[in-house]
Amino acid sequence: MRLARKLLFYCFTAAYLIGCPLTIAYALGYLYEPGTEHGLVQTGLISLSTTPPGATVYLNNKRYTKKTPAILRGLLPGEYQVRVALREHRSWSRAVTVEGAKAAAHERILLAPSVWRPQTVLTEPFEQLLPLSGGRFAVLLAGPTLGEAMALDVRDALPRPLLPVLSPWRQARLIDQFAVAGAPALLARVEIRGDEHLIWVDVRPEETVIEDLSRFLLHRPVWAIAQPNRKHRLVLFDDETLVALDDPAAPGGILASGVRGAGLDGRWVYLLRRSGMLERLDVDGRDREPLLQDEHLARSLFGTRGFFKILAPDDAFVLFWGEQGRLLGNRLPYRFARGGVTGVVQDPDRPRLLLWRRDAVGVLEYGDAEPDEELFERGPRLWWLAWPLTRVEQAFWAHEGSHALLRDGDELRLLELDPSAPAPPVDIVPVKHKTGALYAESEGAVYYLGAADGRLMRLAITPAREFLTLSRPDRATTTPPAGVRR
Amino acid sequence: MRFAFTRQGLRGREAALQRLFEIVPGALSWTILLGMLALSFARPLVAAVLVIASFFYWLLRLLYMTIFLVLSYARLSVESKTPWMERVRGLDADKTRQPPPTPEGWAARVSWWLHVRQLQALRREQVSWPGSAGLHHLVIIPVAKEAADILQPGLESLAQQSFPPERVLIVLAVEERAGEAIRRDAEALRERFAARFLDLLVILHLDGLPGEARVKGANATYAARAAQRAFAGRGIPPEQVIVSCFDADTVVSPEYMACLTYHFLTCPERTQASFQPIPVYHNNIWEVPGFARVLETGSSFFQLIEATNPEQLVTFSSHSMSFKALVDVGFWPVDMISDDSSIFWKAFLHFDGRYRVVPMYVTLSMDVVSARSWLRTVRNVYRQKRRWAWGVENFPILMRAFLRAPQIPLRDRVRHAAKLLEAHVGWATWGFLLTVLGWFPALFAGREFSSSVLYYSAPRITATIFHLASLSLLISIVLSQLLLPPTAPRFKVLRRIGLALEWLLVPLSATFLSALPALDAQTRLMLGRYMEFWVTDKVRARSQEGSDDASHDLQPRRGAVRSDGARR
Repeated sequence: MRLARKLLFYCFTAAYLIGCPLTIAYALGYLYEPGTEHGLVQTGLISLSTTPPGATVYLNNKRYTKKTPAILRGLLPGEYQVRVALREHRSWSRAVTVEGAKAAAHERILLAPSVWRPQTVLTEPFEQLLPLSGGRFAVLLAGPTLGEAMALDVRDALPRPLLPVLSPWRQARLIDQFAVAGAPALLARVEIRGDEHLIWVDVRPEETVIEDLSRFLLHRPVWAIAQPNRKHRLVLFDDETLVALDDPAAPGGILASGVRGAGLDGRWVYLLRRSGMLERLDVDGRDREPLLQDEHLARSLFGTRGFFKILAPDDAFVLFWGEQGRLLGNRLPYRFARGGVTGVVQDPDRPRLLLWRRDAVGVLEYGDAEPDEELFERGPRLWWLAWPLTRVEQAFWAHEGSHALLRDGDELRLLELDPSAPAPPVDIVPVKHKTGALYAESEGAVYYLGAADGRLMRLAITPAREFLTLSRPDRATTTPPAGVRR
Repeated sequence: MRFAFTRQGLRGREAALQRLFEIVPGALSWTILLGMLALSFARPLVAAVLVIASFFYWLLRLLYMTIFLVLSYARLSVESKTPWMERVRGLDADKTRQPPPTPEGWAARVSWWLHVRQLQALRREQVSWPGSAGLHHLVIIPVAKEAADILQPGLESLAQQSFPPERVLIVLAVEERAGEAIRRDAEALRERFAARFLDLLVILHLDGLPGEARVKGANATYAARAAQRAFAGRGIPPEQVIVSCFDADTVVSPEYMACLTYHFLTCPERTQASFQPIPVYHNNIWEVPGFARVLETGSSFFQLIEATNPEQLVTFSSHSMSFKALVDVGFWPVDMISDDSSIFWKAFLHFDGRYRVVPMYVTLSMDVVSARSWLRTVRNVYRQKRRWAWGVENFPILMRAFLRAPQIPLRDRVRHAAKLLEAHVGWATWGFLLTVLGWFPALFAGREFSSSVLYYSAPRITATIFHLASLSLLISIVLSQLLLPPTAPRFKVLRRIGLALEWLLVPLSATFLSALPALDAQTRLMLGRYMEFWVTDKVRARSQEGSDDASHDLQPRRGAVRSDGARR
């Protein structure tokens, strides 16, 4: 037994001394390529994942046996032509650069169907679709009065009437309206029997709550913000007063005057004063904290006129979106866009914002702090996809942030957000002229009004979110077929 | 060498060294765990490489151990029906020179072949063995709170030995603090069993004797001294006595004493040796929760593997040794919890490294730690494992001794110290590395690491390693099925299937009921928070009415010294 133990011990020690370095070398991508040219080389890999899965992979026009999701290992550094094809879907192709020890990951490839197949939800025609904040609710207008309007909840099979039969607001004629930021609500000016009213229309799963704010009718609302739980709601008017509708001390009272910009984030209200001073208040008005007191810097950034919507994507980053589409931030380089930005929406999963202007879509990445080994702070990075677009009216994050769904003019289009390899947007379907669309990421579906007849349509863009194929490094893996290692 | 095997009463350099070496195991374990955690955040790439290297090492070690587990189990099976008393008589008559008595079956033939080989080796080395006629056995059973129903099966098993029971002296070493009921139980057992042995003594160990802690070793030592006097009174010298110190719940097979006698006789330096059986936990194995069953089966497996490496075998739990050696080394330490391993190290130092443990392929069965509820069982198992892991208390004492023991070869000192340290550090860290920390680099991967080849390769390699490791798990499941006692017929199939599935709990139980208590014990030693002695509950279905909770502190008590607590 002693001798056997010794022999085995030496065998296992040798196995470890030889096997461990080889395993680690393999894990790091090292391969031995016979021949004098290569010898021991450090390879890279390409990771591919598609929606839907099961697509065939071609590398430099050679077909792999494995379907997506797949990891193509053992690739020598260089550029490869990758194509992914699935029956009845548009193929995806890209020139992918592989570096030694690096993984080139394309893990949210959305394979668009060759033919889109929208479904009709309601056959009645509608004039307008007003999407509300949060991606779950929309208001459908079939005529000029609220009584003809319906509420769309993407979790229900069919829309329901916006107001109950006995509601006194059913006869109200809509003059103008805009969506409240942060909660599924509208702020609207309406007229009943010759009287004008300002109302807050709060669409909830089972019912719609309407609140008359006509006491503020003298002034034009610039922006309305609410917490998702509706505990605190703010409206900024064009006379520079900020009204807190739910102030426990003075309900419906003026929270602050001389305000050119406002924002609401959790328990904090951000205020940009007429003087250019920036501060934040506790929603209950108890704490006040100055954020910018440098008058010179404030004037240089915000000027002396114009309103700003203040967004606080996280504690360290505050964004100021001005009336002319200016976009400023509290981190370098401060001025992100001189004008033209018509929409901003936050990625729910990552520190990114999707921006759009008339002819372009951009992504503002603000997550990275200053890198360890660089002298200068890098700051948030904004990149635009300069593909010619007609007139972007709406944009949504789609497919876990890999794509943007655009309402570009009267067309819904899908754009892959990859700055390294810009690809043209895919036309999906035309929509009724000057009507909105609602994209629900949880359902993977867009709701819109049909271009010809104004019917409410539903089109699945991706599988419902829980069925998405997530990127995982331990999935099916394969090595390249002969002849494609370069 | 002369060395006080204790951490009490140290001064100056010795105290400093003791403290330093107390810190080493815990510090090393925490450095490994926290270092891996920190690396996973700061340098995930380096952490991932280390994870692969350590998992690969673990795999090879596991396979290596599995080979010896299988070999050891095969040896145990081969020896399971060996007529040890016949062998002893054969030794007495030296019948091995005659043709073998044609053993039936391959197992018996292999066993006989091993026996013959053993004798040939002895003759080659010109080692003679004494006759067995004068040999006596001393069995010390420390009793802290165990009632008659726990003690009785063990005594019955000792009375039914193939070795003549009239040459076996039993000592029930009862703690004074055990209480009147336990003492009455012991007396009742004495009256019932004394006539079946050479004698059965009930020795009352007085509480709070100077220099003693509340530990089993103090009780056993007190009893051993009383037994020494009893043997002297009968004119039996210590070299003619083999002492076994058994837990109160120990039940031995009928051939145990004969097997022990055989190994004692065939051991070249028999008065400088301990004899280690394979402990199994079958007494109540079908009455305890699955995780406890798997853990204790794992303990038996560990001892089976250790048995194949006698050069580094250390005594564990119930074991036996030469009484002369015990007397020579000054009995068990009276202030240490881990008396089972401490006595080996104490003897190893006393005999300048010329002391060994002889593995015996015979089982003795004990209780699995249990309690009335599942949660209390978890707690008790945790405490028991922590107490076992407190064996790390030997490390600082041993290191101090090794530093001034040039008479012990350097190679042996390094080998034993390294093994002891590695065993304890590995015990506290492997579970966490395999089930938790090994996955951290991937879980907390930043952009740089997640875009590396390693990020994609590591899960594939670790998955392969775990697949290969499952071979070992499979073998363990099969062996556990073979090792366990039969179940009631109506439960047979279900129980066996359930047992196989219970092994899937190994990652959890190995982490939280093995690695965690070991880390707990090492941390306590590192911080100088020495452990209280805790008496494990032994609850069987028929004794549920009794208390299932007891605790004894380690603080030596000052009290009146009584001359003798022995009773007849």
